[in-house]
Amino acid sequence: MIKVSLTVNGKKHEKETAPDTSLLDFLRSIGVKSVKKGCGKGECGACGVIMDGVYCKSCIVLAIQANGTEIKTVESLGNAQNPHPLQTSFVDEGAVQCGYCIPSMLLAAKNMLDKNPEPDEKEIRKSLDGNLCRCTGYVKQIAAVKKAAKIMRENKNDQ
Amino acid sequence: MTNNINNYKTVGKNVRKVDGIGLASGGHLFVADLADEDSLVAGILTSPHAHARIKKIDISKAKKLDGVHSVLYHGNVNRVPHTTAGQGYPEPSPYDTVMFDNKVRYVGDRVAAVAAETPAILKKALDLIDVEYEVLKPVFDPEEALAPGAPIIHDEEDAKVIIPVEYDKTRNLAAHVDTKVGDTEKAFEQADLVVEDRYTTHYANHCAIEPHISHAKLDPHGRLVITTSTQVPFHVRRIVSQVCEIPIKQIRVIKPRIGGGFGGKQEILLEDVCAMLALRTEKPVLLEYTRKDEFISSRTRHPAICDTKLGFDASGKLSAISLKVILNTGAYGSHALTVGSNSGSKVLPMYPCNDIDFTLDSPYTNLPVGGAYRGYGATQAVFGLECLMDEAAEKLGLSPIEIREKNHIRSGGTSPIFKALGEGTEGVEMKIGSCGLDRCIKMGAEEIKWEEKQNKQASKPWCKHGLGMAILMQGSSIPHVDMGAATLKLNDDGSFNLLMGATDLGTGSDTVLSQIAAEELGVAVEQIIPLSSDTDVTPFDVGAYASSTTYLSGMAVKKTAALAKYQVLEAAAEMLDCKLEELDIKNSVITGGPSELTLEDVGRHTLYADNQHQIIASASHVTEKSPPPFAAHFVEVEVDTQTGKVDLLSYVAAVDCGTAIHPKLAEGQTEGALVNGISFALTEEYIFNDKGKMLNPDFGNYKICSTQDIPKIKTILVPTFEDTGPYGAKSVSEISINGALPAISNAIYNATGVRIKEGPFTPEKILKALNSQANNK
Amino acid sequence: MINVTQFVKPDSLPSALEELNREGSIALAGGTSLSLSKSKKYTKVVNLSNLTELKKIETKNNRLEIGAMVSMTQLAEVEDSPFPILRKTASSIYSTAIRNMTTVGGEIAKGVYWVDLPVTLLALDTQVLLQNSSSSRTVALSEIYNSHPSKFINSNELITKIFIPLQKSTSSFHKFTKTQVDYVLASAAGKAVKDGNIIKQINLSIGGVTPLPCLLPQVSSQLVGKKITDEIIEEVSTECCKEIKFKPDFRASTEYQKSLIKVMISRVLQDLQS
Repeated sequence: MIKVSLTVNGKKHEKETAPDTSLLDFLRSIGVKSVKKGCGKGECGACGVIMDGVYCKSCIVLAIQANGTEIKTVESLGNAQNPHPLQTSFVDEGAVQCGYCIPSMLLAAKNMLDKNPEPDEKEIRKSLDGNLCRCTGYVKQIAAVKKAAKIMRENKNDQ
Repeated sequence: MTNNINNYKTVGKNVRKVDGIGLASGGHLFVADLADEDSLVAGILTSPHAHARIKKIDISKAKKLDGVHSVLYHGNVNRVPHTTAGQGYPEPSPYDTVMFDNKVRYVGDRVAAVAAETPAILKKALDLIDVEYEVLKPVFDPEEALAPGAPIIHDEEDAKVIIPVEYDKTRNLAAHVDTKVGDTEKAFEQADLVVEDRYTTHYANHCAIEPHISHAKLDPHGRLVITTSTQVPFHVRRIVSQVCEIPIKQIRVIKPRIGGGFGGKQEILLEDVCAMLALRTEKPVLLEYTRKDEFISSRTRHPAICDTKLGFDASGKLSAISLKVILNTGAYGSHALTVGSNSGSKVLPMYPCNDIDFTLDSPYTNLPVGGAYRGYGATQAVFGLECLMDEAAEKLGLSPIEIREKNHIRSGGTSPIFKALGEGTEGVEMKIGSCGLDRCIKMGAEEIKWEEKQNKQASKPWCKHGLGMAILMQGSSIPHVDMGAATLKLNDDGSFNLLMGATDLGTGSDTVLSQIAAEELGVAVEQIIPLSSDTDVTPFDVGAYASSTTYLSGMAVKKTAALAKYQVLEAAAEMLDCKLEELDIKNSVITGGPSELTLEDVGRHTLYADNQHQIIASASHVTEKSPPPFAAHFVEVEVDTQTGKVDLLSYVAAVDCGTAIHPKLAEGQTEGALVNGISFALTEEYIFNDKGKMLNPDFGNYKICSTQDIPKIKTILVPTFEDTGPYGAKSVSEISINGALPAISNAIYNATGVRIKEGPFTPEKILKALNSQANNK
Repeated sequence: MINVTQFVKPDSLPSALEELNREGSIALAGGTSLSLSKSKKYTKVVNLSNLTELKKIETKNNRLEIGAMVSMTQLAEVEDSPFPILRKTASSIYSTAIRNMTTVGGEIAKGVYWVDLPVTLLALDTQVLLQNSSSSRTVALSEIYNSHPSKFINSNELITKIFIPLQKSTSSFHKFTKTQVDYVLASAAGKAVKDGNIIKQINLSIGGVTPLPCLLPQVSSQLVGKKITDEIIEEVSTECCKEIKFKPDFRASTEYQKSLIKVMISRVLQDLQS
């Protein structure tokens, strides 16, 4: 067993775990269950998190590899009382069907928009290319990212 | 009933999806999130052989392992033949499955199950189960399986059917249907043009991003509580009761949020084993499939061989259809008869004529098991039909649009097939109510610029440009079979709890059904608190399948809301001392009386003041017919003639789903279905080795579309009004998965002159066809 | 990974190399492959993610120096790269989240048939700097790939940098996959140094169809001193398949692999023509 200590959405967590535990399983074991398991091989993208500013798939990151890092999950964006523009845009555009792939897709979009606040459709598609969704056909999600980007730019200008 | 959608307050509006924000903010809403922390983890040992008898099985080493709480296998569970298909009772699928058998029938078949304290112990325990197999000769080809001398897959005595349908396990025949209307032989003889060909479709997986998962435990009273990712909670309760031999009253099934189903979760795959492990260990148990299990051991789309023959007169009027379907059901007969029957009933009526032949043979093979999959047989059969329509059009000198306009069914029309072909029984005679096919074709053609792009050049010299189309129909519920029910109760703040058996599996039906309740009640949708599928709490519903939720369960909700409204007005009339008939509810206010009352006034009054009672109503609905939604799909492609790769440039789906209760969700159903259809047509496939083992059971090698693979997509909702549906609605969820196969095949032909008759249209297959075309010239 | 008892994250290259100098040690770059490893032979993981000196892309000594810890995303985002095909190749590799994690060193060390970056690097005459705690050596990537990274690179050695000579040249990369995010079925890259229209030096390389990406020295040498014409393209793209030992692939027949290689090589040559 190896001790892993990391920060999730600003809160510190520490726990002993087996050396081969993935970050995904570790996060779920400490109660962070917005991070979903869909394949365990880095192929579906339901487990995406932002680790030290980098969007990655937590099922192919070792928990111990994340030792000392700052992890952001979808809870860092907002909640039902105070949602992020990405969250409201996804809901309002009809981009959320079953919702299983959504938390990580929102993080992928957030990570892209932080670097590129005015993406074109091609860039949006590219940023979400590792997040498989079987419900929506992606049309509404691409539209939702466009809409959220606009709202985020406007909010920034207002400040 | 008004059919002016503009008069509706909530129906037809894009209200906020009721579970949207909770899901988008990472709420702990799925089975894995809700499982008890101290749950045992369970896993299933599966067969490495396609066909084998278990000669010996030794579980002693696994059982002795520290941390192992239970090992199940055929020697320690009772043999209860059943079907895993979650269908209405008595099920039309054969009872050919037991929890564990002494025989395995495909690579991935169940052998044993273990519940252990940790995943590491579980893995070790599964490895410690010693199984000695007597390997039997397998049969993989569906036609060979039906031939004399083929290995018999279900040689057990107790496999049977429980309704009077043809079933002959001694010939590997899981289902057979033979339906004749008129005299096709004569009609083909008299036809001016006959086109016929064999079109085949392939295995596919549902690929819900949440794999199958179940959690079971005994509550403090000793009742079994199953929280499971299912489309059919009430069928789960019934089948677990049957297989685990405990009374229904001892079981509670809870459906939380579901991570996609698409038919794959209309199957009782894990619940019986999970329940049995919980009963044996008296501990909470969590059993989930890995992605690999999903591909290998769950359910698939039945592959089909469809021999289709069409007769036309010289003007291009269709006079006769013959459709012979061989539906490979794999190792078990789950949905074999019904998927096969729907290949006829959801396809043939699209072109009414008097002489129709339909036959279905569904053989067992030693390959993965077929099951319900969005499109449900129509996907398989419409491929050949719509490609042959194009072939006939070319021979008749008609355009693809003209031949369809000449022949497609219209409002007021019917087909003898509706009555002749049901699901194991006769069907139900039906006159088409709403049909927007003509407008679907016109609007779709316009959107894709069908005429303008006819001779468009490709973007590169080695590519060819093409256009293709297909028209489609599906159904809405299974008439006289499916039942849905709902309950509404008024709270003291004027809100309503809407309790539904209908199962939202991500489709948005909680939202759509709340809209229907709100519209009928005259309240805002925010006043409705939906709860779907908890067998202890909500009334019955057969579940989310057969495109039934909006049309069938929606009508149950509408009826319920009308009854609840009556009770509200009754109480209000008493409170206002006026006649009930004078009153109405508008925007949560009771109007028309001597003074106005809010629903809150009525709620509080009836619960706390005079004549105290709970305003609560329930209603059930059974459908008389299954009105088809219709669609026209158009696709624009470029075919790379050097590599054989098909690039989709744009895709247009014009859909008549009656009234779209929630347009954005209806579009979402269409887009999700058509993108699934696209990757089914182009890249999704099961690659087997010669021993029947799937070689690509992961998303790395089983390719579904990502954001980078989809073309420009346009959905057009073409409004019609279906009198028998809630606010004019029909179904929308399945139909659009069916278009890609024929439309893309037609577009490839239009681009290259090569007809691809076998799915998927892989680059290798297309290049081969192009090369042999070049060699033949 | 189950036997790992030690996990270190050194802050400097010398200390990383020191850590790797013990038996049972394994370097972790992006972790996308190692995290899934079922190997029991490792007892210590050396996480390289703090080695900022390996995350640089620089032009020095008339060559492009790329640190082994440069991610595919970083490589794909280089502006004004002297080799646009590096950007094209890096941005084509798997999906965003994986491009963010996988590194130049990792892509070279993986030693599997489906890698893309080495195909391009082979064509670009890439040299690889291998270091251990006491010495270093610079070898041609082609030399490593003529053997296998797992055999050629000693267990205490680390890929720390790669060098690409800066030369006035044209280069091209093409790959074929069934979907955008997919393991490659066939790929090809090429770099040509020309005098007018005449080829002075050319490298052609391929991937996807052989156990490891490889150069095609025979057909490449045949092109030297010639002008790339449509006839030459037809001839070379057909000829090159003779030089390749195709590996069986359950996703494609050998015949189809050949067709694809022919097309990929043709398209590379067409790009080099202009």
